[in-house]
Amino acid sequence: MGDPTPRAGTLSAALPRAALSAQTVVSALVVVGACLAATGLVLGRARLPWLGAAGLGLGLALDLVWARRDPRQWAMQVATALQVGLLLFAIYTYRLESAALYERLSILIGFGFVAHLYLEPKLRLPFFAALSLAGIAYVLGPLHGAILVALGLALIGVCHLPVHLYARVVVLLAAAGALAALRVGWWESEDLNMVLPILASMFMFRLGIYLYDVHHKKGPKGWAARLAYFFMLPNVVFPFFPVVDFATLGRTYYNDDALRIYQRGLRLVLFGVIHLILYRVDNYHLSIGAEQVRDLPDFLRYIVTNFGLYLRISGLFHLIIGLMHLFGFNLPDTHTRYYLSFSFTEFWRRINIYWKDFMQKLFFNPVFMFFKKRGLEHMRNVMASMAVVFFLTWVLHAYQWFWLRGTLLFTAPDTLFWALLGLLLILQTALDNRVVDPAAPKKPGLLGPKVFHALRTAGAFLTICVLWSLWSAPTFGAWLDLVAAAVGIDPFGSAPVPASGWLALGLFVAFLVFIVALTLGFDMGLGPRQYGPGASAPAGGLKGLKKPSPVRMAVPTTAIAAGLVLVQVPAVYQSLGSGVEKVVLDLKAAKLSARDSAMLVQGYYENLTDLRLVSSQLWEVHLNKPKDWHAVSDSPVAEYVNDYRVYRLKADARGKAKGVTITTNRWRMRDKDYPKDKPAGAFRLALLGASRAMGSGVEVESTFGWRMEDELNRARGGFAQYEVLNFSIGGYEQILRLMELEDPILGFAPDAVLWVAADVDLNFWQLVGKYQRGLALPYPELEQIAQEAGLERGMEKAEITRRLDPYRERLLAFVYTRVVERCRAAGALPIWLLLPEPTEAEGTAERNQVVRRLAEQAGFQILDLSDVYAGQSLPTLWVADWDHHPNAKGHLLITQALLRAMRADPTIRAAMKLETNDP
Amino acid sequence: MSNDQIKTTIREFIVKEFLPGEDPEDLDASVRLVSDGILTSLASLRLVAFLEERFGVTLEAHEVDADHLDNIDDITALVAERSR
Repeated sequence: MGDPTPRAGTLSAALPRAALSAQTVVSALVVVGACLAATGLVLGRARLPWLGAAGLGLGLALDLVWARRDPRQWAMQVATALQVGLLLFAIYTYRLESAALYERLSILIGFGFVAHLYLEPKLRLPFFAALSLAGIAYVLGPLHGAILVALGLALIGVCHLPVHLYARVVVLLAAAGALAALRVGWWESEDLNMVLPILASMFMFRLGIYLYDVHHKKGPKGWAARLAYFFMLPNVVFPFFPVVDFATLGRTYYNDDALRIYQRGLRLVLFGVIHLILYRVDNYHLSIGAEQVRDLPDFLRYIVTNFGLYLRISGLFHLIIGLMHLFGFNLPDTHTRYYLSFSFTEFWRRINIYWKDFMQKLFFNPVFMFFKKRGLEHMRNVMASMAVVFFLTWVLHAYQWFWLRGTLLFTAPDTLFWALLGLLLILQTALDNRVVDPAAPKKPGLLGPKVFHALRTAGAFLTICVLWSLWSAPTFGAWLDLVAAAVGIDPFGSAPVPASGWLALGLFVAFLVFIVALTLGFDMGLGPRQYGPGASAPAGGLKGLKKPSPVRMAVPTTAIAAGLVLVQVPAVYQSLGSGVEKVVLDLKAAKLSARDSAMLVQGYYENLTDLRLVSSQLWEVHLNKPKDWHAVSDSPVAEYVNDYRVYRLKADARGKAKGVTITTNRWRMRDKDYPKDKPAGAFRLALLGASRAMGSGVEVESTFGWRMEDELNRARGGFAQYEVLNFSIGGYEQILRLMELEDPILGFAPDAVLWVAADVDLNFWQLVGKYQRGLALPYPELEQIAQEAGLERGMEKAEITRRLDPYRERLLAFVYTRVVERCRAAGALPIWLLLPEPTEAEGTAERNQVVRRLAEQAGFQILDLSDVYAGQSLPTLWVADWDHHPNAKGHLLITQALLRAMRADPTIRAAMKLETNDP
Repeated sequence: MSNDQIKTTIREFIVKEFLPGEDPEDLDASVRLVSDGILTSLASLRLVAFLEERFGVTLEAHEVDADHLDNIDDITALVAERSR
């Protein structure tokens, strides 16, 4: 480990010897005060934080007046602590990432930083290790924290066994095999399932580096350094974590002026905050799905905004590395303006330096040396070693995916992406190293050097965006469809492709070749020759490497951070007009994008194995989901049927789904038993919805259908008895509900049908998937629309969705109209209930308006509960963090609001003979 | 060969290959060659090839890193130690 003793000019070094005893008292007051304040906040004690803050404040005051700290240095120290507080407050204000970060870990980071400042240098590293372990216990809980640390210590211990390196590797592989068996669920343990992804994110790569460094006697010594390395504080809330190098961690520990290291860290944290805010702008407002691409501008928007979602990862990495700086780890920058790379090698060098260094250390250098000893020529050796690195990068990404997600990632787009990137990088390396005759006349290009450099940077950016779109495509076919849509070619059309289509495709391909060539460094007469020996002089030369003063670094960081916080003050954003106010509030909200929200509702992410999940905020949500958290369709109460429905509920069945027991009656309903014939004097309401109405994740007695029936009978309306028959089935899209209505629901002679709707009624994902699989659509009208849309079986889902998009309202209008017709023909009152999920998603209000208009046009009686969760903290209404269906409290709110709405509607009130003054 | 001669030879090579236009005198021990990105992975290998050829030393894979190549003094010390 680097010597943590501050150098001359730093804070502790400036303390006069005479003041040492006073300084000891001051340090004790500050450290104990900070620890007390943090402990009080963590444990939720009312007085402890105040007591701690008083001790801390007293310590700081005494530091100035009693210990006679140099006022300038004292001010710098306090200002830095305030800056840390400001940045953490910005993270809290914008609700960045998880509540575990902005509500919990921030407390430990903030107070930990202050305590750390006043500790003896030799105590700082053990303190950081202890703080990291406390963070694990705080975020995961004592039991899960203890399991994680115990497993981690065992793995570290294996690296130190007094046996040959190969024997240690074998033991580690055996341990990894046992953990992998747990990860795939061979042995079910809820506790271990909670712990394994975080354990994996800490150990899956770092263990290899550690073993390598221990073997070569590199890196810091002592258990504090080892604990700090593996359990480093921010890791517990960030499953995606840079592959920090053990030797680098030791080498960079306080290897510069302490204040400059802190300022570098704060700047990186600020960059992280900005990246994460920009990610929200992109995710909420700019990015579109592949199915929305219809022409070239759409394609450009898709590839650029899709790559823009990577800002989340770069933001997280900045944040993580910045936070590490606050504890003295002067780690290398990461993702340094990667979007401004002008070549493939530059991009690879900038984007994730931690991965590059990891691959270089463990694979590239050893492979290169291996080939070198066997006499392979230098450049051939470089290219062969790079090929090995890219092959292993591909394999290791699948390995990483396995540990974090529990499944392997081997898809054609992923394979193609790494193959292409590797090939282009190898090609570029060869081109960059061509021998250029210095005596050859220099060709001036058509454009000046700066303009050409800008053009090349733009070309490189677009090339990376195109490659990224390939990487994130679910299949290679889906990506080809995307390109076909961009150039206006219908690959499935019966008519031959017109000449204009071929021309557009030719121009597109030519443009791709042009930007790839630009990125590779071919000047094509446009600019001065770019290739040559790969010099890497820093911008500004060696003089540009001079270290800026901490004060100079602090000013812009503080000003921008203060601006970000200030703009969130109501008095400020309200004075800037309603447009600005909406944008500001939007940036503050940690919500899902419209697409993510709809996908979560429909369980789309349950089985997702492609890379779209990485850039979604749903990643963390699903990381904590228990292995046995199955939807009803995958539970023992569901059975396969060989028609469009695919599955239905079994009769008289019992089984577990989403943590609760589901019991069905003889009519395949999740409800009590009812006779098929309606009892005399009874009012029968058929409840027809999907997972929310079925009561996903809640006991049946808590569902709003069950409660409503109880309430109606308790209130004694005009009927002798009220029956609410719940025919809802989780995962049933609108077409399936229509089929259920026709058979069997109307056979139960309901007096009213309560159709539970939401904005997701506009999505037809099940239709898309079933059509692709070749299932026959259940209504000729749907087949007609499919024909008009030009759908063909076997098309990629994105292509079907793209073609179906203009017909969505027509599809839903057909369903709604048919529901109303069938209900009226059977003498049942059709009631349409707008019931949203307790989530906040962009664009929900607009989509609600569309579905409501269609319901009104179809002739439904309308009940709108879109504000049913108003004033509530939404997470308190969720079944679980990873499942945002309403819990028992949510169902109670729904019941109360629904009964109020029914009584307020004259038609429904009359039909059900309800009293307006019912409780 | 003295340490000063070794240092001068290495400095000239680094400036010529990776820092064209710079004054060799500016390349002192405070310049972090690997950490500041002057010696990329490929540049490090070219430097290693040069050291092996020019000074007749052999380096191992785990020595091609910032621990050994981050500044001119470290590189000089490494070569000097291997040359003994």
